[in-house]
Amino acid sequence: MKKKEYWKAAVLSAMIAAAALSGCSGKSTQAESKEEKSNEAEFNYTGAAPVTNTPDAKVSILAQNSWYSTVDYANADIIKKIASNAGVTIDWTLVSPTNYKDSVSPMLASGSDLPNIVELPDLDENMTYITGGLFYPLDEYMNYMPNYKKFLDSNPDIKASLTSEDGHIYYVPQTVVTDNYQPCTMINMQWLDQLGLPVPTTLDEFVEDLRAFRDNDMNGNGDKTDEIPLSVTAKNLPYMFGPAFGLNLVDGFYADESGKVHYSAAESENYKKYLTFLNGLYKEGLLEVEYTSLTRDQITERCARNITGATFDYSWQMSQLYSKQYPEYTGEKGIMVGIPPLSGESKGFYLARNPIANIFGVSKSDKDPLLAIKFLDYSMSEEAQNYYVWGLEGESYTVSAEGKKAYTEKASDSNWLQQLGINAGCLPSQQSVEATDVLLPKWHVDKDKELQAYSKAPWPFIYSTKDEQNIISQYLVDITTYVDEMNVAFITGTTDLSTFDSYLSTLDNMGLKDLLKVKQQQYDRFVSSTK
Amino acid sequence: MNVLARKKAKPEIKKLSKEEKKLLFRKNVKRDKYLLLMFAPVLIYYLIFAYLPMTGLVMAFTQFKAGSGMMGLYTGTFVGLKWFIQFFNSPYAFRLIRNTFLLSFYSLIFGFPIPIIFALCITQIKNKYLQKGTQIITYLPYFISTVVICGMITNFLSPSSGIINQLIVKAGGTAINFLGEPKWFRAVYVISGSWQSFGFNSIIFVAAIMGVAPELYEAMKVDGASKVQTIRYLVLPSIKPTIVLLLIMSLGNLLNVGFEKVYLLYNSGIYDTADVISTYVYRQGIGSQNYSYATAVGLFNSLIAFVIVFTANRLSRKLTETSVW
Amino acid sequence: MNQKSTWIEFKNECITDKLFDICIWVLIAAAVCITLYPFVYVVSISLSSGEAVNKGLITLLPVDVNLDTYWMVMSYKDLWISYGNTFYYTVMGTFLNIVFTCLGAYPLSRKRFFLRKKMNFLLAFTMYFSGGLIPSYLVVTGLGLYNSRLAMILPVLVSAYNVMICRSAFEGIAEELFENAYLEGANDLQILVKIAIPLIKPTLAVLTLYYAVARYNDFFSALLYMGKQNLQPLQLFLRRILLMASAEIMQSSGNATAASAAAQSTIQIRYVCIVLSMVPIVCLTPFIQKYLVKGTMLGAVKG
Repeated sequence: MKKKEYWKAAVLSAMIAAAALSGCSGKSTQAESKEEKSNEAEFNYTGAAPVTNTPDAKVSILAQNSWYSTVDYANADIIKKIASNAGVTIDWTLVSPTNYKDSVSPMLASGSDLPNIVELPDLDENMTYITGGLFYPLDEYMNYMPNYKKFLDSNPDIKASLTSEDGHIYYVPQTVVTDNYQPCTMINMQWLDQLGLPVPTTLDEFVEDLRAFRDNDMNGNGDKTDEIPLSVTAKNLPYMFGPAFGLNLVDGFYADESGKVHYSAAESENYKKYLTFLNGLYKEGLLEVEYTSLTRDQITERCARNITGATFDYSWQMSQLYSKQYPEYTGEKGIMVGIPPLSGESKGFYLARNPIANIFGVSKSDKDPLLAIKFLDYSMSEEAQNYYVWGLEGESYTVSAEGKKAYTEKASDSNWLQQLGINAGCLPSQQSVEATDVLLPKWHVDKDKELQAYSKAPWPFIYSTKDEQNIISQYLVDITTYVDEMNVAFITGTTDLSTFDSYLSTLDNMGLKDLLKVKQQQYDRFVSSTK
Repeated sequence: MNVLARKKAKPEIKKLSKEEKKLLFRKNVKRDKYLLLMFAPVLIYYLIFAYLPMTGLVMAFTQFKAGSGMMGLYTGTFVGLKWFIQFFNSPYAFRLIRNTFLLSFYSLIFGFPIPIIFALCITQIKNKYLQKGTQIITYLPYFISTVVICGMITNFLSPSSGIINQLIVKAGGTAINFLGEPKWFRAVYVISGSWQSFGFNSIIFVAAIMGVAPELYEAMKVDGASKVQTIRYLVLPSIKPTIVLLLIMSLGNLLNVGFEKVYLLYNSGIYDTADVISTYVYRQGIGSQNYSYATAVGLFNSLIAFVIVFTANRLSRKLTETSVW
Repeated sequence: MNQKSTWIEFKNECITDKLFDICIWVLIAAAVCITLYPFVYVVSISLSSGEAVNKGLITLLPVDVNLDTYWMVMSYKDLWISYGNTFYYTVMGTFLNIVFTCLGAYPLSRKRFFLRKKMNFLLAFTMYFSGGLIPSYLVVTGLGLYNSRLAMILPVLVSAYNVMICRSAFEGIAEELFENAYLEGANDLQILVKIAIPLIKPTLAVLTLYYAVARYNDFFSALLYMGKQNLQPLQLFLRRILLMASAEIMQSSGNATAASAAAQSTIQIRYVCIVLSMVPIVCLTPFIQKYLVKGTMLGAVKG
């Protein structure tokens, strides 16, 4: 009897302690907000600066700092200009992007003391934060967000992605370029020229080129055996050859023309052909043994030693990393250059990106969100976008008489441009192609425009309902573990392709059908929202 | 037989009345008042920073709801054993547990004796500077962060350009893809782990060996004992309590394989031996964190570790009279 | 202790001892080689020219010695601020760690302490069970420690593992010493400070090293609780640089700014940062070794 009471007391005191702790935190902004409430509602904000006439208007924001460790967005001129235009002072809490998810997820899990505007650590796919009631439903404040309304109307896909199951929209997105500068296949142009071969367009041609790389002394050191035809990491391999077989092996799920959702690794015909093809490459020594553990550092080293002929990576690396490794590189013509996607039975394509990169929400920690909402809206207006893309007129760009914008000489100094706050990651900027173009050499820019034509939309971003989430969390990790393992086993020949059918049936038994049903449901929901 | 006799011989404990218990308590407090004073801050620390968060383990049985602060730990919707069932329903549950267990078991078997042996070797060096210098050199790998160590391992073991394989090829063999074949992973993990930490882990044993009084060494010499005999009959028994204590505490890590190192070294080709509980839970959490699931799995780990240590402690108390508690 | 006498000693030993000695020397030589090599490798890369590094030319010694990267990294103001923070957290933290560990271990080592068994278990239990990330985070932030330097010190004030080791050391002190002190009218506090602690110096040296390394390497507490960049320790700074180049970062962000920043975090910069982050803690070890002296128990038992 005594012991029971003792335990009860212990638990009770723990709970009291916990309650006391939760009470300790959380400032009270009751007094202030009542006054502002009437002000903010009355001030007529129509989309252009300023957003308020309250003196000392303050907005607190939690967001990602710059990728460049020497840049602090709180001091960046572009950011300061936007804040002063809007007529607010911003209290920044900036966290380095490398730590962002780990640092900020617990903050949101606890939910106390959140700043007015929060850049989320992930896309909240499972609506964890929405269900937690952390953010205001912005669709109810559309009167105060003319810019965002306009944006949503002109981007039905994004609107569909961001509309949650309960019909509300909680977040403002930061978008990225979808079709430009996406991952692509790259070939060592010097080696092709040496052999007098044209740029390959089909799988067969590509394989011929790889064979030629393997059999000849391409780097002229007298040793025919040190050339590695293809250096690609295990993560990038599915991007590279999947499209030629009509498969989207990156997202796994894809919808065909009739709107039916497939799972690439379960496509009995195409996936088997894909595996057979790669197995062939592996057996011939064209796909190297080491690919499962290869890292980008190692590929860079191979470029520096001129021992590799082809790779696959983000377009950016073409000129900023790989080509720079070659002593012959002058900046005029690329050495490791991207090529149009390879076609097999299906026409090749490059997978584009999902436009939504990061999202911003207005937290419920402030009783009166109007100021924050208006500021968020302004920060995604065209006027603000102009700042993000071009910077400050007269300093980083000039406008000609005909109204054509061009970057200044100063702007080609990438470090200075970053210090200015170009393409700021701490606000809902929409990454522009021009701002990326200016940082790259001309040959890269031209190549990118050429490759842009081949991009294809990826699996869209769709929220999961609670039931859907249950099924997904039950089956998805196990299925992808099995698929990834068997993928390597089939390619390296550890498991013979004749057992492919038993692989398919195992996949079925792991709940693939239920998973496909859920994904189909999600996709249908998405499609109907875009209408 | 002896045990039975011992049990019978135990004296009868008088049952104290409530009054007597209270009096005894007061007497104890008075007598040990300084000890209590000393221990009080430590106790408070554990209550606040260890036991209070532990109440949050309730999260393993609920659907954690984000954003409600501390109360959120206790107020999520109750789901019972859902997360545990989900984990064990995975076709990989057994494999994950097996891999986690084997990696730490092999690390223990291989990695526990080495620091002891090394400490014995180091303390044999007569020259003070040589001894201290050697020690410093052998600690160095411990300070190199995991990310870098894994980068080095990947480099050294590369089939095409790594040093190890170059030596193998020179000796006439064929290059081995260490990080691509499941059968090598455990060796790579265990050996690299020992290599990184044996120097640092030997420090405590060096301190223990240093605690053996020089007169005892003299005595052994006078008796004509060789170095080997000295170690066997003097040094090892003297440091036995330290060894037992550390061994038992290490057993508690049998299901705790550090996430970072495995994550940096593994790939889908070697999931069969390399995929461990922590990496699997990590893959579950990509997208949005499922804290309840992670807590449930963590709780399971802790439970097993505790049972193992509890048993070992009991055994040790009976066999060697040293125990953790 | 000079070379000649060691050689003579060796010659005079019996055969088993001679073999034993040879084994020892071989083992030690091997141990030194395999542990020294990676360190030399890292230092060599940090001292070589950028091109040589990219080509993977470095195997043991630096190629084209070049200090540019060092100057570049040392010019980051962030580096020095984080050095200062780490120094503070390590020194303050370790000091408090040792104080509270002794305060906790001493009572646990006294057999007559009436709460001994219960407290032993209380501590040991925490070695295996913990609330996990979110509950700990909620407690620490609930106490108002977010962005406070104390967040790097208080939550990790005592390690049960180390208390057990310290307790074991206290238990090793002969009882007569304590009895004599009691007879002379000393109380437990005085005994702890004047008698017990001086007697376990080697153990305390080891624990200081354990704690110092733990405080020095702690990046996770900083990740969770140090939002302000000017409070962040060296490890967080280092981690930022190291992770920049990882594949994950590329995939999760994929934007041009991230990529271009990552391209700047070359292999060489990473290794320079590693060396700079290792130097302070490695310099600490000789001081610790001073206390690892033979037979420190000597003298106490005689009295």
